[in-house]
Amino acid sequence: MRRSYLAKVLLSLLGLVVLVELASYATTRLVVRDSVADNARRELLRGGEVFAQLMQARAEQLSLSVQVLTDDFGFKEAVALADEGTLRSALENHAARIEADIALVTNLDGELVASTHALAPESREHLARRTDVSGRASAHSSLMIDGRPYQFVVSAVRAPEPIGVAGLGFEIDNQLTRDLKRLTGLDISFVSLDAGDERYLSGTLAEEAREPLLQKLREQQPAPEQVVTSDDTMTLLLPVAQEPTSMAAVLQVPLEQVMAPFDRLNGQLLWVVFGFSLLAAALAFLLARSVTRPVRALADVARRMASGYYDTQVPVTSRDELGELAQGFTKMQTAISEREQQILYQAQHDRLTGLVNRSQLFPEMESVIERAKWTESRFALLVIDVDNFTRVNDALSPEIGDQVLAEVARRLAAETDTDDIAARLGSDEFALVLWEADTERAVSAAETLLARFADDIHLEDLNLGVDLNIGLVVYPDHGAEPETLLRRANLALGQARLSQQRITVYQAGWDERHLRRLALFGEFRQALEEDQISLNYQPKLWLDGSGHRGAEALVRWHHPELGSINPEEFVAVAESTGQIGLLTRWVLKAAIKDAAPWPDDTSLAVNLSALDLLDDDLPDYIDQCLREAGMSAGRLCLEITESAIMREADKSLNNLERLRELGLSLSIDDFGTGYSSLSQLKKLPVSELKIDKSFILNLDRSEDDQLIVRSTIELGHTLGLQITAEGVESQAIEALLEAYGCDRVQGFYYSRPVPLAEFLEWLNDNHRMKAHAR
Amino acid sequence: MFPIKAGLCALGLLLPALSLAAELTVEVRGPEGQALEHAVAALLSEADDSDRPEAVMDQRDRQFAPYVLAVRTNTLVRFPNSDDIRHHVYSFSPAKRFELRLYHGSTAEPVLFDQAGKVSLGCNIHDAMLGYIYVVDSQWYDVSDSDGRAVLADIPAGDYDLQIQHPRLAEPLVQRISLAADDTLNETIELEALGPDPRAREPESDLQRLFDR
Repeated sequence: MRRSYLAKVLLSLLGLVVLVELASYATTRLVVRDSVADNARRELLRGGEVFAQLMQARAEQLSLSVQVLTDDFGFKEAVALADEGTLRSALENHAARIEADIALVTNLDGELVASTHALAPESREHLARRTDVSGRASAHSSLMIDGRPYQFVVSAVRAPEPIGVAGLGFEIDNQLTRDLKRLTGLDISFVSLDAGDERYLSGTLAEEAREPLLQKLREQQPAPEQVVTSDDTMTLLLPVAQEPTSMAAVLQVPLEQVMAPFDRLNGQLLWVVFGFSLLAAALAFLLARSVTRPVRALADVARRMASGYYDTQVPVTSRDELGELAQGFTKMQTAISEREQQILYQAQHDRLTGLVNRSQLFPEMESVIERAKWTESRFALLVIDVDNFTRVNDALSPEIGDQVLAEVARRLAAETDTDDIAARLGSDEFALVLWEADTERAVSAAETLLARFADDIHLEDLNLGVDLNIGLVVYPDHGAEPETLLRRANLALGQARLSQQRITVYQAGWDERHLRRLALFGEFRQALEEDQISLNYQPKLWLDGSGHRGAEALVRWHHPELGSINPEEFVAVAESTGQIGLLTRWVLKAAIKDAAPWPDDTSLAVNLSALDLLDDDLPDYIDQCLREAGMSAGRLCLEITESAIMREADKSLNNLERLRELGLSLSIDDFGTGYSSLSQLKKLPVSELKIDKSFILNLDRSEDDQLIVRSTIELGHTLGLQITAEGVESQAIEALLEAYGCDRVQGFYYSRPVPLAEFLEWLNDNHRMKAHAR
Repeated sequence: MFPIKAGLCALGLLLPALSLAAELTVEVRGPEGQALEHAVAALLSEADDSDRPEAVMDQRDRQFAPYVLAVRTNTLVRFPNSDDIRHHVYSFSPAKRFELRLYHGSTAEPVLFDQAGKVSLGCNIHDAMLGYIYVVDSQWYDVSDSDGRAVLADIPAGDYDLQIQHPRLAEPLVQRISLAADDTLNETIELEALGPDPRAREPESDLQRLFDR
C-alpha cells in the first residue's frame, strides 16, 4: 500500500518531469534547430551581402583608381601619344599603387594599346567588347582574362573627348576568398559554370571538397541568390559574371559547423532532463514519504485505538492536512475514550439508580471472589427486593415506583463500604456484596439495613413505608461461583418472601431441590404422556354413621430415574411453569373416570391449585368430564388450599360459584395455615373445611391443638360447613374428633394413599369394617 | 564677318574667271530633321598665304565660348580668360597639340593652328569644359546657327567639295557641290549616325555605373 503510493507519486512526478522535459527538449530542439538553421541562412545571406559589399568596395576602389588614372593629365597625354612603353610603365606604376593585378589601355576601338600582361588573342577580343564605355566615366565587371577571374573596371580616357579606355583589375584569387571567409565565416568558392567546363577557380574549400561541390552544382543547378540546404551544407550561389564564361561565387555553411553548438546544447539538455528526473525522483520519494510516514503513524494509532488504547501520542506535527488529521485523531481518541467510558458506564450501571447492573455484577463478583481466594477472606452476598413493590407500581405510578427504587438504591449505597458493591439486578431486586463478612456479620448488616427502612420514604406529599426481603449467602460457605452464589441468594430471598422472615440465610439443600425442580420442568409433559404420573386414593370416612365414604385423589410421579417425586414438589413446579392447568385437567379426567363406577355413597375429592381458580374454562371442562364418565356432580368435591383461595379470593369467586352450580361441593384444604377471615369464609360458596394435619397429628397430646380443633369444628358447624380432619393416625385421635363432632376423617390410621385397585379392596373391607363397627 | 572679308580677299584671285560670285546657304539637320547648331560647313579650297586675322576662343563661366570655332589653316587663335579663375587649356588632338598652363586674363600667347582638322579643347582643371576648333583649308566656311544654317557667300562659280563637320559626327562629311555664277543655293544636309553630344554627361550615379555590368 505504502509502496504503491510511493510508486504512484514517483510515477506521476517522474512521468510529468520526463514529459515536460521531453516536450521542452523537443520544442527547444525544434526551435533551436530552426533558429540555428535560420541563423545559418541569415548568416549566409549576410555573407552574400558582405560579399557583394566587399566586391563593390573593391570595384569602387578600382573605379576610383582607374578614374584617378584616367584623369591624370600626363596619362592622358601618354594615351594621346599612344606611347606603349610609357603607357605600360604608367600602368605598372599605377597598378602597383593599388595592388591591382592587371592594368591596360585600349583605344576607342577596343584595340589593346598597352597592358601589364601579355594577353591571349581571345582575351583581347573579349576585352575589346568589354571596353565600350561610350561616354560613361567607368564600368565594372567581373570577367575571365586568360582563364583567370578578375574584377575589372574600365574608364574612358578623356582629353576631354574619349581618346581611349583604361582598365584596372583585381584578380579574384584565394586572398579575396580568405578575406571573405575571415569576414563572414563562410566558405567561398568562385566557380566557372560553363556547361561541361565547370571549374573551381579559387576559394577556401579544401582540395578534396572542390570536386564534390562542382559535382553538386552540375547536378542541382541551384537557383541564383537562393539559399539551398542539402544534407551537409547550406549553399548560396551568387552569379558574378556571364561573359565570356558564366562565373559564380558559392557561399557555403557546413551544417556540421552550424549544428555544433546545437549538439552541445543537445547534450546539455539531456543532462538537464536527467538531472530533473533525478530531482523529481528524490522529490517524489520525499513527498511520498512525507505522506506515507504520517499515514503509517496514523494507521498505527488507529490500530492501537482498535485495540482499545486511546492515549497514543500521534507522532505527526506537520501543519498540513495530515497534521489536521493527526489532530483529528487525537481528538477522536479522547472522544472515543470518553464515549467508551460513558457507554461502559451505562453498560455496567443501572440508569435509574446509578448502581452496578446485573451483567456487571458477575465480573465484579469474580474479582471479589479472586480477592477473597487470595486473602482467604469471606464475603456475603445479599439479594434484596422491595416487598409488594408491584403494588406500589400498580397502585401509584411507575414514576413513583422509580423514585422509590432510586431512594432504596440510595439507602443501600449508603450502607456500602469502599470494598462493598451495591447493584441493581432487576425491577425491584438489588444485590449487596459485603466484603469480609461471615454469616453473623452479614445478618447483622442486613438487620441494620432493615432498620434503615423503618423510616418511611418521603416523596413530595407522599410517605411510603417500604419493607425489604433479603436473601443472604456467604462465600465460600454457600458457593464459590458468582452464578451459584446469586442463585442461592435468590432462593434464600424467595424463602424470605414466602416465610415473611425478611432475612433468610441460604440453607444447604435448597439449591439442589431447586435444581431438581428446574430439571422437572422439561420432563413434566413427557411424564404425563408416558404414564409416569398416576393417581393414588386416600380413603376418607364419615363419622356420622351414614356409611358414606370417599377418597382424595392424590397425584404420584414415578420418575424412571429419580423414583417417586414428592407431589408438593412437582405441583409447585407445575404451578411455576404454568403447567398446572394441564395437570389438574389430567387428574380430574382420570379420577372421575376411576370414580364413576364406585358405589353412589362414595365421593371423590380432587385438589385444585390456586391458578386453576382463575381458569374460566375449568367449570365447563369438569362438567364435560362428569357427563362423559356418567358420574353425578354431587359425588365430586374440589379441594382448594386456604392460602390459594385467600390469594385469589376476589378473582376466583365467580368460577367458584359456577362450580358450585354444577352441583359439586367445594372444600377448603389445609385450613388453619392461611389467614382467612371469617367474613371471607362466609362469602365463599364452600361446604367443607379440612383442618390441616399439623393440628391433628399430635391432637391427643396437645391441648392447644385440641382447643383449636374443637373451636374450629364448632366455628365450621356454626357457619354450616362440614369438617374433615386430616392426618388421623390413632384411635385416640379418632375418638377425640368423634367427641368434638368432626364430620369426616382421613389419615394413615385408616389408610395411606393407595392405588386404585387397593382402594377398591379397601372399599370392600371397609364395608366389612363398618359392619364390624356397628 | 570673317567669311565676307575672306570672300573679298579671294575676289582678286578669281578675277580671271570674270564670273560673278555665288552664295551658298547650308542647312544642317539631324536625323529627325531638327536644326543642328555648331555644324561647320566649309568649301574646301587651295591654301593661300593671305593674312589671317586672329581668332578668339574665349572662356566664360567655365565654358569655351564659342563652343565651336572654325578657322582657316594657319590662323592664330587667342585664348583669353574671361573668368576670374585660372584655366589650363590643352588639346591632344592630332591637328594641334598645345597646352596653355594655368593662366589668367589675356596672358596666354595666341596659338597657331597650322593643320586642318578637328581640335578638341579641354581644361585640365575643369573637366566639364569642352570646346572645338575646326581648322579648315577653306576660304568659305561657317558654323551653323541655332537654325542649323550656315551661310557661305562670294563664292566663284565652280565645283567644290562641301565639307560638313560636327562634334557629334565622327568623320567629316564631304559632298560635291556645283555653284553657278550668281547662284544663291540652298543646300540642306542631313546628318545621320550622330554620336551623343559630348557635352552631355551621363546622369547615372557612380553606384549604378558600378553595377551596370
